[in-house]
Amino acid sequence: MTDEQLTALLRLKRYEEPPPGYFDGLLKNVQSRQRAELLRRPLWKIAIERVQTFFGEHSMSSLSYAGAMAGFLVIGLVGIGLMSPGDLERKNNASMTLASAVPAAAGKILSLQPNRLPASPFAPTQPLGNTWPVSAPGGHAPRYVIDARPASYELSRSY
Amino acid sequence: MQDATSRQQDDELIARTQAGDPAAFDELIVKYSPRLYGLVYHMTSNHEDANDLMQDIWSKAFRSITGFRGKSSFYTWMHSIGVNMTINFLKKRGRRFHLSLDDVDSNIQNDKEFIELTAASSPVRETDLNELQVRLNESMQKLSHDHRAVVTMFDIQGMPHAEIAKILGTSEGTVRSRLFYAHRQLQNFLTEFHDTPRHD
Repeated sequence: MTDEQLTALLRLKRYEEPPPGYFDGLLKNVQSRQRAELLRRPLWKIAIERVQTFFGEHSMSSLSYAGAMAGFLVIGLVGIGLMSPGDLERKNNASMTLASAVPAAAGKILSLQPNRLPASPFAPTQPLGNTWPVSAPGGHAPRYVIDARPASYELSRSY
Repeated sequence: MQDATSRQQDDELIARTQAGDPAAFDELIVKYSPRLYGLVYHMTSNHEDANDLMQDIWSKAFRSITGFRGKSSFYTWMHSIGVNMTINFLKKRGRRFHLSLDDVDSNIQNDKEFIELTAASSPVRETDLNELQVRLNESMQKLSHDHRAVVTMFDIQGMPHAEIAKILGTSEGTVRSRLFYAHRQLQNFLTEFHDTPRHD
């Protein structure tokens, strides 16, 4: 077989064709596959694409784009740092301390004796752990002071 | 290979696809699938494999099109993806394959080369068309993947050496050399065929 005959034979292979309608079916198959792939994509990829599209639409220079991406990265890292488990534990401890201190302080203020009023109603005068006094010593009704002014001279249990 | 109007149309369709218009990509699929199918089918000699690969190739192209910068034509870019994916597939498939041939278009009967080849003085006159197709595809499968790719693009699809070199990322000299050796091998296989009758 000569080279010309071989070339001619090979050229005839162009007449080999897929079944009729094959290319219509191929288009549909590719489309459905694209949709399936889009649904399977992870969220972070979609987020990155949206950011890229956003900057693409606003025609930023590559330097600005790099700066913006670096900014996002820094914000992300700071966010991750704030949300780390060690910090969360520390925050929880701090809030628990505050929560326990507030009722104690409130109790302390409420338990102030009339004859031992401090200059400021919020200044600590007694150790923690005092209870609500039912009646003042010496038979006097308790007096509660707001802004260094007598709030009431009524008996505490007269409704 | 491609005229300026066609290239301009492609550029518009690519820009629309990159902007998120899937209908534009569908137009590219419709436009380039027949030639791409020819490339994949003639390299695999199996319609089912070619069909699976076509879907893989277009999916890959869709995922990668945002990175297409137009340094080469879309046609060249698609063929590069097609050749690379087909060669990877053939390496994995190894020798496990069977021929699954497409139908031959009846227009072949009017082809000048076909008439000459099946004329009384031709060495293929005794061979019916289907047998010739089987034998030729079997011979093609005996070539290395790189040689088969070059024969498919040059002899069957009629692409110039320069275009093939771009697609394969090699020099034109390499393309010519591969063609030369591929032709020698095919001539040997087909000469054996004419000398030895088939018994299957």
